[in-house]
Amino acid sequence: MRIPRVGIGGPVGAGKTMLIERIVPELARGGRRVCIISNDVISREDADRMRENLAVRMGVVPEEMVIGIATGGCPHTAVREDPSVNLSVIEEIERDRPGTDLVIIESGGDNITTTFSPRLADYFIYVIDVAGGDKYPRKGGLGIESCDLLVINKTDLAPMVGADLEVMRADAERMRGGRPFVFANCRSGDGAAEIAGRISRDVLFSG
Amino acid sequence: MSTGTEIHMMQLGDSLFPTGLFAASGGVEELFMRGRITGADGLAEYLGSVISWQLGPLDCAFVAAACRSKDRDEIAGLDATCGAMRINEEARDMSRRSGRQLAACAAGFAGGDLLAWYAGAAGTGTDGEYPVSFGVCCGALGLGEEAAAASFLYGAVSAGVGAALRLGMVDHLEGQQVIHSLKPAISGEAASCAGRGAGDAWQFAPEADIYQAMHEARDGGMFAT
Repeated sequence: MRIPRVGIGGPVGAGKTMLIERIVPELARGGRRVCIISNDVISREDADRMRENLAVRMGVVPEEMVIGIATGGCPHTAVREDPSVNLSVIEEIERDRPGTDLVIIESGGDNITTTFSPRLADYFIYVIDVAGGDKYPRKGGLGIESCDLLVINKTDLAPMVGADLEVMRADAERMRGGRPFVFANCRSGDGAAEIAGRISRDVLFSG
Repeated sequence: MSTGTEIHMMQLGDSLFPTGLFAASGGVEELFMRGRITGADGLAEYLGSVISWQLGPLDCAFVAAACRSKDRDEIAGLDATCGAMRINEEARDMSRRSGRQLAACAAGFAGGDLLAWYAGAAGTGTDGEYPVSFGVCCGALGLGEEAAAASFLYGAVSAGVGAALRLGMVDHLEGQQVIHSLKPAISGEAASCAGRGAGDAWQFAPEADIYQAMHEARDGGMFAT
């Protein structure tokens, strides 16, 4: 059986890993069994961190359901041009863990042209952060413009970096033609419930 | 060799073909990180050695046998033997993942019951070893054993040079020079593999085996573990 898949991409340090650490407990509270595949350019540090936080400390996923993949310095290749390794891992999950409700695939940190192969991800979340400046949404790029959900993270940093959230809101609306975006602060958890809710509704087709 | 055959070879040997091998370095990363290879000459020497002592005598024997075979039981046997002869777990795992994806991809455009069976059986009844999968795909496309082996070896060399480029071991011009320098080795091994099978397969590449084994234990690197 094919398990629904959500791809999460974005630049280095935008908060992709912390977003997963926030939404997986929300999904688990709704009874969802989630597998996480973390692609990382030079290590499996993100996967190790999520395993420690989500599996060992919180117990919301089994340890073996947090899987790290080293991508050989090409994060976009692993999720778009040649997703073979990711697909191979997902096929094993589908074979060995058929009760899994959702696979979350985290891309390694990349640039604003990141997208996911439609064979790999059914739903694509792109994460940017306020600390990159309020120009970020209007600069566009495939990730920002084509994703199913844009997450603008680290809203708490706006005053410190002189970013105007209303400018980002207006630019995001314009660049995305009315498609959804969410302001979030993954450190505090703000926005996580809304993002998890969108995944439940738009990917898992439940409330 | 017809133009059609050559194009099939190009497609399967192209780094664009989705097998996941871009994420593997075949030991190149470990050799580089430990200072064993630092430039184009060392890279060419290493890849040439792997072609002559491992990829040619071992992998290409399975490529050739699978390419000419029409028998499911024989191919399943090739798969099992090929996997048993691959020493390192990391290399074995990558071979199986890549082989399964290769067969699944090729079955989407190449015909034949054998490939359709193999693409469906890989991961269940068979392991989907990359050289066997490559041979089955080449057979389905009507390639001969020599052409199949040449395409296989070219893909391996291209992947190794690609890894070296990303590591900064060689630059983009040196990379092409390395590939060019290895063409005689590729051609020679490809020409000698016709008619060979599992019973003829052998390897003696301790440097590659040892450094690939060390890479398995590496905590953090650019290439798949």
